[in-house]
Amino acid sequence: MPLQTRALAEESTATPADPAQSSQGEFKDAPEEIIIRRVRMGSLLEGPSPFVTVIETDAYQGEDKTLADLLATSVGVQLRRFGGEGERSEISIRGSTASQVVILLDGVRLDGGQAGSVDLSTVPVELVERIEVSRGSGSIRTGSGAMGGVVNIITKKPSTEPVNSFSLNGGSFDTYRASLFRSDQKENFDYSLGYSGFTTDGDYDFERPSFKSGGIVIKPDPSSATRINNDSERQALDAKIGREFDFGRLQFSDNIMYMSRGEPGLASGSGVNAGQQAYAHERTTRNLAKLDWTTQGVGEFGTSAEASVFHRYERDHFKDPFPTLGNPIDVETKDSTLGISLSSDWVLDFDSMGNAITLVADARRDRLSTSDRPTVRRDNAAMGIQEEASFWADQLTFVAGARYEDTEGYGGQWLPRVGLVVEPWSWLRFKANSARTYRIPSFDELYYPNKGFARGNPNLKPEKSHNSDVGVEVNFDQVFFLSAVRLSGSVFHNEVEESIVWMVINPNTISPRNTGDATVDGLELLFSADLGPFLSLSANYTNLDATLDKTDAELPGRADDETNLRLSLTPFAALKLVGELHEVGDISVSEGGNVTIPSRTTYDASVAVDLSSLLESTRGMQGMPSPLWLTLAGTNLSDRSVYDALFFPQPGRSVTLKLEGRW
Amino acid sequence: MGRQKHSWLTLLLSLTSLAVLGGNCSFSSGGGSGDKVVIEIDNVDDRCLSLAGSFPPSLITLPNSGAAEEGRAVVVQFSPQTVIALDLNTVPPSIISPKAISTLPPDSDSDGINDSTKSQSEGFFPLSPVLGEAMALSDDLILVSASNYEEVIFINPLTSELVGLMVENPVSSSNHVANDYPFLPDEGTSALRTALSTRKCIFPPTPVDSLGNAIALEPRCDDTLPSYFTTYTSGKALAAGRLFVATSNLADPGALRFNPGTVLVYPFNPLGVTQPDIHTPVIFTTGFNPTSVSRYETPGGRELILVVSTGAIGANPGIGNVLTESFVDVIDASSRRLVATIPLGLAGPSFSPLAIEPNGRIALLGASSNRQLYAIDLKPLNDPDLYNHPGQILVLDGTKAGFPDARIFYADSPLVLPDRADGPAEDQCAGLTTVAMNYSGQRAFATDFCDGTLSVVEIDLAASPPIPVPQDRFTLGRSEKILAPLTVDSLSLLRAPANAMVRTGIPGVDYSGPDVFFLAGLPEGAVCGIRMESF
Repeated sequence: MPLQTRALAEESTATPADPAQSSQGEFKDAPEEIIIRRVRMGSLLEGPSPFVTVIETDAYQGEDKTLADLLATSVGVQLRRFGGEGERSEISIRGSTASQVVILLDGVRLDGGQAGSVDLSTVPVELVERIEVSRGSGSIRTGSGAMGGVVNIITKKPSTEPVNSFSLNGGSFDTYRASLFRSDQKENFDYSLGYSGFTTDGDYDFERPSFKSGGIVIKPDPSSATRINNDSERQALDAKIGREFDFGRLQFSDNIMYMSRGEPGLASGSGVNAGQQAYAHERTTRNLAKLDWTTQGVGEFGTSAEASVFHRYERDHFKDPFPTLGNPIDVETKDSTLGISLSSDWVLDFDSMGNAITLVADARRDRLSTSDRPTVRRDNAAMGIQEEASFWADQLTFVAGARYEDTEGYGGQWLPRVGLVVEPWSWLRFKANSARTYRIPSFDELYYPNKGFARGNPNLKPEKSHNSDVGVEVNFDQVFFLSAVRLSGSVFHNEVEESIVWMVINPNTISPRNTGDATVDGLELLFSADLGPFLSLSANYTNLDATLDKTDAELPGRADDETNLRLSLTPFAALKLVGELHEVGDISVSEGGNVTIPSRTTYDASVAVDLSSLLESTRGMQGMPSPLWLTLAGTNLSDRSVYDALFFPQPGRSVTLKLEGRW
Repeated sequence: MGRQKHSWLTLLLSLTSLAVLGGNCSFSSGGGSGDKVVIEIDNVDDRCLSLAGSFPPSLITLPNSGAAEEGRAVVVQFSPQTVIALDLNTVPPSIISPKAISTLPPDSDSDGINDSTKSQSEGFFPLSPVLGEAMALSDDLILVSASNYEEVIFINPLTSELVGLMVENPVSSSNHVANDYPFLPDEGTSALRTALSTRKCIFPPTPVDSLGNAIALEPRCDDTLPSYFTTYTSGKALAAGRLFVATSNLADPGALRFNPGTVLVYPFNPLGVTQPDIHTPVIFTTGFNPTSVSRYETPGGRELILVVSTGAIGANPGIGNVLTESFVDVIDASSRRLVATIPLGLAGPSFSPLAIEPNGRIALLGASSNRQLYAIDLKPLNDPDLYNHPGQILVLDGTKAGFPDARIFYADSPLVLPDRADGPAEDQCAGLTTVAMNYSGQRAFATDFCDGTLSVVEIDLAASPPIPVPQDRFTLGRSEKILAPLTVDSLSLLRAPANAMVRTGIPGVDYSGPDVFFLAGLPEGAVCGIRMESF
């Protein structure tokens, strides 16, 4: 089965099953690679019990997807997009806020101390090899902030054989993307070098929302507008060089990103431009450098060890000569993190019991220097241990771990987690997890300078979370005419204490406050199967019930449910047809829970031709990149008005022509 | 082989061109026009009608010229911007606007150019109006102040449509310079407009701002004299056939810097022509930051304009937020002359109009940064001698012989409203109060934004009390918890009451529904009605 047909519904423990195998699928292949003994450098996977989705970007060749697109269709995940490609997009996992999700780039946190959240539009998917989405809290590797889950974005890596690839896109709103990648080995060094460039005018038209209250509809005048000051440019470079030594492998990697974009902001005002900011602009430069040492075989029982030193630096310059509130803004921010992490895996096998022990330790210093406030810094150190005990040929696996994390100003926190996997038959698996985690307030939440309309709150307490989930996974290689059948269902329950919310504290000022407890309950369902040799189907569904405990009001910013459906048709190897349906339920956009963006259904489709295979078979042409996909992709084909956040319009129908190849 | 290589390179280049061309395929992109997004807003409280957006800026009653129209009001909505007509007879108030109304159009003054383009053509940023306080002239005409684009917009509240009136920019004369009004019609011409521009060049006689700094040159006005453009159009009132419009002139929000406050004067005739007053186009206020303007007619029949200057204020809670002194200026509407002022000290009144007692003896004011009320005695304004001192501004604080102290409650001696036990701490939210007087003038109702309370003040004006009315004539009555306080525990609940309004008429006699109305600011705006006297 083609892997791409699976990624929507794929769970960590799955790799494409071989249809030639027995009628009952096996979970064994993937665990051997990814989970059992769990030695996979750069991976966050922490045992068999968490509910994890792995998205391989290669599976989407012959399509046109951004990182946000790939994550948005993952079960349990909701994307909050503030516009089209190149504009801010944030992730929510299992009803979390964006700052309650840790996003890693090759194992290093992308968020600095300032905001605690990551703008996904800053990461070009062309440089990404794989995305691991771990749903649910509790991570001995990531600690603070991993309340909703963890996303690890793994960039393309060096290879021992030459690999070259490129892509060129041109699409609606003068949007262009280009990428080049090469990896190879020279003498004892292997390396990879990837570049991605992106630019867009972003000047799409959009329908402005009407409001219905008290039986009347208030229509905007004019009813539509054009997104202004929405041009965006992004350049990104990812370089890695590594060498095998007797003592292990050393690899240095550097990821550089530069983004320059207009910030039109809310389209909520009056006038032909609907109140958009015409002059606000942001320039961001980010560098993430990392030196890794990894080795296999440590002593008698150790299987691997890894040590990393990393430095993340982000410089942001925001200017708005005429903001809606207050004086002209011209703020420069330098947000950096210097850190080290160590981890090692150990195996102790007995006759009827396997033991895998993971030890981790890490430390980092976050530093924030801005032109509008004093420089602040914060040290954090942590260590963790996890034991994974397997019984009866892995039919029962028990995972227990704990991380102790000490953050300057907040003292130490124990973050325990337990997990259980029961696999009575090779095609059936039950999983359950329970964990506790927390989130240290960001520098902005603590120290945002008093600018009249907003100020930080140095007295904030950390958010805390108790998360549990239970689920089942079923895998059949063949069921009647269906093959590679995978079914998964899970329910989760998150209790968040001391939720931090920016709220109005007096007639003129908003400030973050610990506002009490919130509860999120939800359901995740997945299904994928091949319907014959050419047609594959995958679908997932997420349901959320997220409420503030005190008042039972719905938490804003989350859709109450989401459904993703994907159909892939490959009648022959040189042709790929993909159709997708995305249904997003009602989104509450007010803290009172009484203002709702209605549900929507959008459709995407693409058709791709592998020119190399086509021309080789019809014209006998050889030597060209293979595959060489020419793709025509359309998103939001029915041209729906799409809003994830009130007054932040997204584009209607758009079309992209893409050429990508590999040699 | 070589030929084949050439072929695929040609192919690659061709396809690359195709991909680039794809970037221009705007014919195939859409604007999300396949449907209209309709944001549903539900009521969250039985007493309140939910609105779109937070902090609706204004709630007023309509004159209700006919019996069938009793109980009509208008609320101004901030986001999206529009005005909505209400029926106060229902609980919660219901909307009587047409089933579909529109927001403020891009060309709000109907000069044929959209506002932002017009602003740019005059050397400003692309500005659009931001709606503020409303004032009713009749059931089918209200005037709504708009800042940013700076104008007073004419709106039929029952249809939410703009109303056209003739606006003129007279030929320049000794006191009127037509070019000082860049958004009015050309000099010497009139035009049908749906708004009256309040953007005017100001040349202050004392060119010093609220921080004590010299006011710079504004080249768009004059490159030789200190000057500035009016900003933050606020309250207004009609008296003696003229419209008096206050502009706060906040110049630098970050530095809390205000230019001298002004009241612009326009002879106003809905059936004729409205234009700047060519004799007295502007009156400078005693204090900085004039916010509310009220019409007051003395028992002797003199029409006055009372202008409350809040003073320079910041964004913090408490008395420390008030940076300069507050005043109630008295302008003789006929002569357009500032005749007297009532200093309130560092009070920082809120922006709502004065609550004037029906018999005209006293007026109450809310506070912008405290849980307090202030009050002035209006009886001294009936003294004819007050108007016989041209060139002087008489200070009615008891220091001027022959002119009594008109202050009842002021900064140094306020009427402090009761503190809600479960309300926010003083250092977080000290209070923002608005006040309205009941039909008899014997009772006032004061909302507090921070506490979510409505406090009753009993007023005894029997037997013609001395000037100023003694403070013991004011008694605090009950305090109702009408909304949630502004604390962390109230997240998601309706809170932040303001814009207190009493329905006209006698409760229980003229109507049977709620009698006191107010706006809730959070989490979304709402119009609420409660029964305080009508049972």
